[in-house]
Amino acid sequence: MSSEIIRTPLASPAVSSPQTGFTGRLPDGRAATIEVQNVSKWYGDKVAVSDLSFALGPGVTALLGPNGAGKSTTLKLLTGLLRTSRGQVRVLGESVVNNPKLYRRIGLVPEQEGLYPFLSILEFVELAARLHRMPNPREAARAALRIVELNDVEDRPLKNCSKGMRQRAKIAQGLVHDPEVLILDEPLTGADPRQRLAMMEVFTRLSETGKTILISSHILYEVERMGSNVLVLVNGKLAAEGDFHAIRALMDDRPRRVRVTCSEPRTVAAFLVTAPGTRSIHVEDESVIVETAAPLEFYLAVPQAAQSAGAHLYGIEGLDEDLESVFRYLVN
Amino acid sequence: MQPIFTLTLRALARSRRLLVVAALLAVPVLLALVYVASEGKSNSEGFVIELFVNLVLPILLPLTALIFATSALGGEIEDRTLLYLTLRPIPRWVIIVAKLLACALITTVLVEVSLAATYLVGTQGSGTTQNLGALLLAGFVGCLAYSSLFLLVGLWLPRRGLLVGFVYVLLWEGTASTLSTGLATFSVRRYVEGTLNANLTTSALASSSPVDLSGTTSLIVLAAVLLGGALIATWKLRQIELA
Repeated sequence: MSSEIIRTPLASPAVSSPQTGFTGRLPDGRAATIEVQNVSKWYGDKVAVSDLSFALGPGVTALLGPNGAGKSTTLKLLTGLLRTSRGQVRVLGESVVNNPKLYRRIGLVPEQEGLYPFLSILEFVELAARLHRMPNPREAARAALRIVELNDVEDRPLKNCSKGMRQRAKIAQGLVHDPEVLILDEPLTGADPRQRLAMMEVFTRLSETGKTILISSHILYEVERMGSNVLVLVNGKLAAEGDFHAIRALMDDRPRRVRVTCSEPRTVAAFLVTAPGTRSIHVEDESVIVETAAPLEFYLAVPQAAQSAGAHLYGIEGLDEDLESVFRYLVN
Repeated sequence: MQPIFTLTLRALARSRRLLVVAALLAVPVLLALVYVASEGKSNSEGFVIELFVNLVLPILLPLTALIFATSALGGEIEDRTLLYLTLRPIPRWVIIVAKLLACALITTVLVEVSLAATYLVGTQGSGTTQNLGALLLAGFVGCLAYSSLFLLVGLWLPRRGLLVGFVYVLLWEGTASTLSTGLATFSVRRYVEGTLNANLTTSALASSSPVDLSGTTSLIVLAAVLLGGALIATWKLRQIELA
C-alpha cells in the first residue's frame, strides 16, 4: 500500500480533509464541528500520531485502526486531555486547550476503566450532571440512565457492576449534559449483544439530531451499522478518510472476490477461467468464488459464461465490499 | 465546588487509610496516659507540649496530611478518574480548592481530636484553655500548610508522592530542621512552632523549643505555603496531560 491517504471528500458530507487553515466549514458549506490540522503527538522519540488533518461535521464517524494506531491518543487530543506536540485542534470553533467552558458542549466516554467504586451508578452520573451545573442534576442523571437502560439498577455501587454496566454508566455520564459533540473510545466493550444493538441505536439516534458522534472501535460490523464515515489510522497516520464504500471503490489495484451463484458451477467456472482479470477461481457448493483484478469487465463476462455453460445464473455478489475488507486492506 | 469536596471526603474516608492514621494519632494519647499513670500530674502539661513539639508536629501531623493529601489528586491520577473532574466546565482552581479543603478538613479533624484528647488526658483537667487553644491553633495552621504542600506533591509525583513525602517528613521536618536555624528556616515545622510559642503561657513556653519568630511572621509564612501550594497546583493541573 502506498503511504498516500485515501480520501473521498465528495463521497461523504461528514468527513473531509481541511484545506489551509481552519475554515470552520465542510466542503458542502455546513459547519465543521471538529477540525484537526497537522496534528502530531510524540513522547520523546516515540511518535503516537503524525500530521493528522481532518474535519468532521454532524453524524456518526468511526475512528478505526489496529491496537497502537493512535486512536485513543487522537481522541484525547480532541478533548484536551493531551496537548498536541505540533498542530492545532478546534472543536465547535474553539481551541480545546485550557478551555473548560467548552466542556459544556463536549462529552467524552473514555476507554479506561477507572471509576469511583464507592459511588452508585446514579451518584456517578449525577456527579457529572452537578459539575455541568445542570438545573436538576438528579433528573438529568436518571434521564441519561434511562437511555443506557441502567435506571433499574441505579443504586448499585459501581464496584458491584459488571463491565458492561460500568461501560454504560460511562456513556451516561458522557451524554448527561446533552453535548453537541460526543466522543467515545471503544464504548461497546463488555456490553452484551443486545446492549450493543441498543447503544448503536442510541448513537445513531443522537447523530440524527444534529450531534457529532466520533466513535473509536475495532468491531467493524458495529461501525458499519452506525454509519459509513470512517477515519482509518495506521501507525499514527491517517490512512483513509471518508465514506468506506467510496474508499473501497478507489482501491482499484486490489483484486476483489466475487461470488457467482449458479447451476452447474463447475462448468461455469471453466468458462470464467478465461474471463478478463481472473486471478484465481474455486467452486464452493452451488457457487463459484473468483478473485478478479478487473471487476467491471468480469461482471460483464459472467452472463456470457453462464450462457456458454448452459447454466442458470442466480446471483453475483461482491465479497469484500464491506468495511472489514477495506480495513484489512488498509492496515496491511 | 461542593460535589468535588464531598466526593473527595468520601474517597479519603473510606479504606484502611483512615484506620492507619487513627492508629498513628492514638499514639500521643496513649503516651500521655502512660505518663500520667507513671508520673502523676507533675509537669504533665509540659509533657504534652513536648509531645506536640517532638512527635506530633514533626512526624504525626505531616504524615497525616501526607497520607490524605497525596491521594486526593495523586490517587485520582493513578486510578485514572481525574478526567471525570477535569472534563467539566469548571475552572481548575475550583478542583484544587475543593480537594485542598477536603483533605485539610479530614486531617485537621483527626489531628485536633488527637491533640485535644492528648492534652485532656495528659493534664487530667489541670491545663489551661490558653495552652489548649495554642496547641489547637498550631495544629490547625500546620494541617492547612502541610495539606497544601502534599497536595502539590501528589499532583506532581502521583506514583511516588507518598514515598517522597515520607522521606521529606522523616529527614527534613523530623531531623534536618532540628540541626540548625538556617535549615529550619526552610521547614514548615519552624513556623508552626512559632505559632505555638506565640500563644502559649509563659510557664508552658519552657517546655517548647525556642523559636525566634513572631506569631504574625509564622502565620504569614504558613499562609504563603498554603496559597503558594494551591496556586502552583492549579498551574500544574492546567498543564497536566492525562494519558
